[in-house]
This record gives sequence, C-alpha cells and structure tokens, in this order.
Amino acid sequence: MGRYIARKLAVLPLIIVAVSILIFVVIRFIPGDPARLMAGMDATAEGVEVLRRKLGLDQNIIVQYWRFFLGALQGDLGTSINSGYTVVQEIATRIPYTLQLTIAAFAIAIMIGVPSGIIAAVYANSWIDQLVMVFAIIGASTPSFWIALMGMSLFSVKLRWLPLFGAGTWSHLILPSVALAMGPLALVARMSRSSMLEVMKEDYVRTARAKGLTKFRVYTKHALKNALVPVITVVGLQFGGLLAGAVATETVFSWPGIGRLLIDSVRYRDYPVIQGTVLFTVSAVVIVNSLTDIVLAMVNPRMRFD
Amino acid sequence: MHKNRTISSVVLLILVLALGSSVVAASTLTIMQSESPRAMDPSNQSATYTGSVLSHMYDTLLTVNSDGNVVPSLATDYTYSPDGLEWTFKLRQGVTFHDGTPLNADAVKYSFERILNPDNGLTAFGRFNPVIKRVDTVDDLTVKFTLHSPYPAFALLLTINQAAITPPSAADIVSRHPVGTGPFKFVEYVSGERVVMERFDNFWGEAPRVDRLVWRWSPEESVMIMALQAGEVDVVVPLPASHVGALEMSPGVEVHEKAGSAVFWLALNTTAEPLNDVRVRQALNYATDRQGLVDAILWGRATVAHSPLAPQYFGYDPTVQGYSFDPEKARELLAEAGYPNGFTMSITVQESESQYAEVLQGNWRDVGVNVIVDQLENALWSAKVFSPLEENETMSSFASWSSILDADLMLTPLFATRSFPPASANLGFFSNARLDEILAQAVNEVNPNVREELYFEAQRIINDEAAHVTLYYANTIFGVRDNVEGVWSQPSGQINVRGASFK
Repeated sequence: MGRYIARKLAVLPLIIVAVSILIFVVIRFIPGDPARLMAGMDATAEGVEVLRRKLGLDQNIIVQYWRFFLGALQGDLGTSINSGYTVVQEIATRIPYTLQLTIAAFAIAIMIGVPSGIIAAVYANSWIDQLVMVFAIIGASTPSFWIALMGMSLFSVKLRWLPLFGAGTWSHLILPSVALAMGPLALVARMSRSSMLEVMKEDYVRTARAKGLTKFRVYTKHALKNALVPVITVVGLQFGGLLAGAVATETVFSWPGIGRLLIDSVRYRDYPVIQGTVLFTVSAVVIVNSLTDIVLAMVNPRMRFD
Repeated sequence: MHKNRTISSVVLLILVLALGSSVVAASTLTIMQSESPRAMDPSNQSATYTGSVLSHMYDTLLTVNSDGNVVPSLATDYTYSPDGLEWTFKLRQGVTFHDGTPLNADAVKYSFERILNPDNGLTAFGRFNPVIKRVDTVDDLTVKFTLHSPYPAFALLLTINQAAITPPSAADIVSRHPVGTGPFKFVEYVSGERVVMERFDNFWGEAPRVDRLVWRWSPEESVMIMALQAGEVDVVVPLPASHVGALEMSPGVEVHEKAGSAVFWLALNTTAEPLNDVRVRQALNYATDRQGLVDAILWGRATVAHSPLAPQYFGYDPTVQGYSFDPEKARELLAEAGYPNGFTMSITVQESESQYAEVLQGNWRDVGVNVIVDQLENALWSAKVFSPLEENETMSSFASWSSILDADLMLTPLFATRSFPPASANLGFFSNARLDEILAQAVNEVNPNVREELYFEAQRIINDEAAHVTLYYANTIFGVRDNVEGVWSQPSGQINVRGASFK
C-alpha cells in the first residue's frame, strides 16, 4: 500500500513539469506577439523591440523556460504583462470567486436535481415524471449565457431585485450560480432518476416492501444510498468541467473568476498569466485525481489502478 | 422613549439642514467601459480605455480641452526656439503629487528620462525616443526639452496619456500603484473587477464634485446597456451604435454623441496583383457605397470619409475630393485595367468586424469582384497583417486608427515607405517617392501654413493613387444617467469625468 502511494505521489511533479513545458512551448508557437499587442497598433518597431527585451521574449526559448522554472521553484510564476501584478497574486485573488460560484452552482444542482430525479423515479411514467424530465431537457439544452442574459433582464433591469453584475454579496451570487447550475442540474436529475429506477427493481427493495415498510421509508433509507453512488461519481466528474465551463457565465456577469482570467490572458497573449493559470488548473486536477485513486485504493484494494 | 427618539431625530434634522451644503453624503460615480485597463503605468500602455482610467489620476504638461484646443495643465506657459529644437516649459507652482512630494523640474525630468531609458522597456519609449534628445532642468520650475529635429507637433505630443508626469518617489510602485497629480488618487485595482479612486484634496485645479470614481468593465454589449438602464452604473462608454435607438427611448438615460476622430478604412495591399494597378484600386473605391455601409452597420452614426485624415486633424483639407459611389465607372476602370470580368480577392478582418467585409462583398459583387472574407482572432489578425513584405499574405484588411490630432501621426505611420510592417502600420505597403518627401519635410516644418499646404498635397496624392478605400469616421457615443452632468468625451473616445457631478 505504502509503495502504491509513494509511486502515485512520485509521478506528480514529473507530470506537472511536463505540462509546464508543453504549455510554455505551445503558447509561443501560436501566432500573436504579446509585445506588439501591448504596445498597440500605433507603436514603432523600435518601441515594440524595447518592450520585447524587457519581457524577456527575445531570449531563446530554453533560456526563457529555465528562468521560469527557477522562479516557479521559489513560488514566483512571473508577472502579468498587462496588470503588473504577480501571477500568483492574480490567481490567488480569482480562485476564491470561481470556487464560490462553482460550489454554489453545484449545491443548487444537487439540492434540486437529486430530489427531482428521485420523485420522477418514484412516480415513473406519470405526469410528474414527464414534467420533471421536460424541465431537465430544457435546462440541459439552453445555453447558460442565454439563461444568464434573460435572468439579468428580468430580475435586475425590470424587477430590480438582484444586482446585474460583479461579485461581493450573496445577492450577487444568485443569478450566476443559477445560470451555471442549469446544465448540471438537468444531468443530475436524469442520473438520479435512472439510478433510482434501477435500484427500485432490486430484490432487497422488494424484500423491504414485503416486510411491510412504507414506500417512503424504503426509498429514502434503503434505496437512496445505493442510488446515489453513480450520481456521486457523475457529480464528481462534472465538478472539473464546471470549473472550466464557468467561463461563459463569468464573462456575462463580470464575475472575477479564473475562467475569465484565462480568456483575457489568451486574448492579449499574456504569457505568464496563461502559463500560471493552466499550470495551476492542471496541477489541481492531477493532484485531486491522484488523491482520489489513493483513497479508492485504501477503501477497496481491488480498485488499484496500476 | 418614543418622544425622546422623535426629539433627537428632529434635532438631528435641524443640525443637518443647518450645516447645509457642506454636509454631503459621499458620492460615487460609476463608469463602465468595454475592456479592463491594460496597465496601471500610464507610460506603458496606449489603449484608449486604459487612458480614460489613468487620466483621472495623472496630469500632463499640456492638455486638450473639450473644444479641442491645447491648453496649459501642469505647465502654465511654454516657448520654443526659432529653430524649433528647444522647447522651454514653465511649471505651475504649488502642485503636489498624491504622496505629498512637490511637482518640480526634477520630477518632470525624471518622468521623461524614465520613458527614454530603453532598459525600462516602456511602450512610450517608441513614441518619444525619436523626438526627444534630452531633458534638462533650468530652475526649480522650468524644464527644457531638446529635440533631435524640429517637431511642430511637440505640444500635442505632450498631451497624450503616455506623457503623464510621475514622481521619482514612486519609482518602485508606479506599475501597480498610480501616484500622480490628478484630481483623484488611487485606492485599489481589484483585478478583473474594478478600479477605485477617491478625491484628492490637494488637487491644484478645480476640485472634483464627486468623492469617488469606480471603474468597471464588461465585454458584453447587452450587459453594459442593462447596467445603465438599471442604474447600476452612471456612465457607459463606448455605447454601440446599434443600441442607441433603444436607449434613447429608455427613461432615466441620456445618450451623448459627437463626431469622432477615429478613421476606418480598408487597406489594400498595393504589391499584390491586381491591386498593384491604380485603376483597380480606384475602381474599388468607386464601387463602394460608403453611406450605405454607415447606414446599415452603424445606424447612420458615422460620417463618410473622403480623406485619410479626420476633420479634427491639423492638416485636414476640407476641399478634398473623394470617390463617389459609381459602379458604372468602377466597371469601366476594371475593364481598362484588363479585368472586365472582375477577379477574386480576400479581406482579412478581426472577429467582430466581418460585417464590414460582407457589405463590401455585396457592393463589389456588382462590379464583378468576388470577395472572400478571412476572419481571424484578434491576435492572429495582428500577426498576419503586420507580417513583413516577403511573408505577407494579406490582400486587404479592415483597419482603424486614432492618434493625436496632427497629420504627421496619422499619415507617416500609415503611408510612408519606411512604415512598412513590422516597422509600423503601412499595411498596404504603399510607396510613393513624392509622398515620402512631403512627409519628411512637413514633420519638421516650423511654418504652419507651409506645413498645411504640404499635408493638403499629401492627401491629394493618397486619394489620387487610391492607396486605400476610405470608409468612415466613427462617432464617439456614450451614455449617462440623466441625473449626471459634466461628462464629456475626447474625439478618440476617451471619457472625461473630472468635472462630473450629480444633479
């Protein structure tokens, strides 16, 4: 077991370094010169050169990477070309907002999606079931930014109940998290429904019913736990996707999260920020995956994946 | 209990009324733009909307007022030597920076030497280095600039945001924490969210009538419009032309529009066949329905352009003849040039501009020219159209330009031979020996009448040679809540809320 964990952890830094090299090289191959973009269309070639030298972009790529690598070891991921803040500062400022939004959206998806799916399963093929599933389809198919704009138009402009954009208070969080939750909510509802239907057919459920337990007790105490296992798996996978998918929602609501940071930095070819953000996100995913594998292996030795 | 509360409220009310207008609740003006500030250092950016933010915390030696005239700011007076090489400025007395240090000749000298030092890698280097040779202090409040060669537009050059005066005491923090002499001082920049600044009580000029400015931004047009309608922001700039009609009908909102100085045109690669034939280029100009384009895409909120210069520029010739909309003439010219059945060409545009190419596509189909719209992401567009002559694959590109209002800063970077990309922005690789001669002479010409004549001739050459297809001058449009006054915009689109207040 110990060897398994050690192996898993030893590979992590190698993966992270490999990703950093990949990102470093790839963004430099994409056309678009950050120095010229920053200097502006009306800059002279001389002006652009001076800027390029200051940003270290005139050095050969290996030298650039080496400087980045040494800096990263000391916790310095470079400085944003555009804002002047360090990359670490930028990411640290934005991450809490993305987490806030993602967790809120998640909570909504689960708290509404799971009960809806369960109810739909319990009353399968009735009008309740149809209704829930129709809403689920609508939620899944409607683009989140359209829901966002419609929500803003109704709740912020017409009714003035909620703030239009930005972050800060609870009321700022409502519209963006609801908009972001729509897609996952639909998926969670469907998964819960089908999973519950499966479980309801199981022998132990029929046994419990035969023993005289009420439908409610059977479903909530016995069936639910098992029905939720695949739902949790799916929800876990969704979480990673949510972090990335939040970009559209973050843009519409001017939500200062990491998705927008990445989009803006790509537009302006802000290399240090692109590198830092991608590296951070990839590292987070890789670490979480490894930890999940370890936990799974500890819980069930048969699930060791190697 | 109840009676005590009532009495104390009444007393409080009387006190408040007695204190009168000196007791004012802290007022905040919120401005929303379409993009975030690109840097906090005024000499390290050139974007208009970044300038809007920073120009409320910094001052320049001279500035352009709402009538378009160059007026004193930190400098009260200036003279220049007869040969145009030495410019001496007298500084205003009693001005302090936000950190309490005084404005003096040393600070101005430091400010410009910071820009001129190539090791600092500031974007303003390319703008000032070719012009300024050295800066010297004459006495505590007098500064002298020595130029490489006579540059009559120097006064205008000193009004740009990149010429903001920064203090030596802030050398280490200026890229993150602005310290200037402006009416507002920096409070915070929350990355991705807002820039906040508050009134500076020791400001040398007219005191601002609001206590705080909050700058926000959103790339989504509909969000900007809704924010203004809902009253969550007080000023919105730029206001897209397509939404003006709807906003004008919204209660509580006012739209301000005026002729702008940004010029929009289609650059034609004059080295690529068949655009190397002047008759073909002229034909394209005749085949373009400029008014139709303005009406269709900009809802009429722009002015058709017949000159490469906008009317606000020094050197603009109001009598210049452009090309009328004459498809018959276009077909004649094409036939003469050997293309009676037209030809195929591409127009390279940035993401948001494909509609312009599509309008031209429609216009030119009538004369047999088949257009392929080559739409690219912004940075890719930039990389493609700025590639050097040997590698450049652009046949034509939709571009715009806005600079300070002197013809040299418009014509030289766009039409001089030495401005071929990547050196500068002569995207069409236009090369005319006589034009190069005129531009080189005019930039140093101290006599304004002679200078003007030279630029008139330059415009005629550019038009006769059909170096590009002129299109339009955009209007600058912004929106304000109707309880706000004192907001105005430079023709470039840079907003000024220094004198803004709530009614």
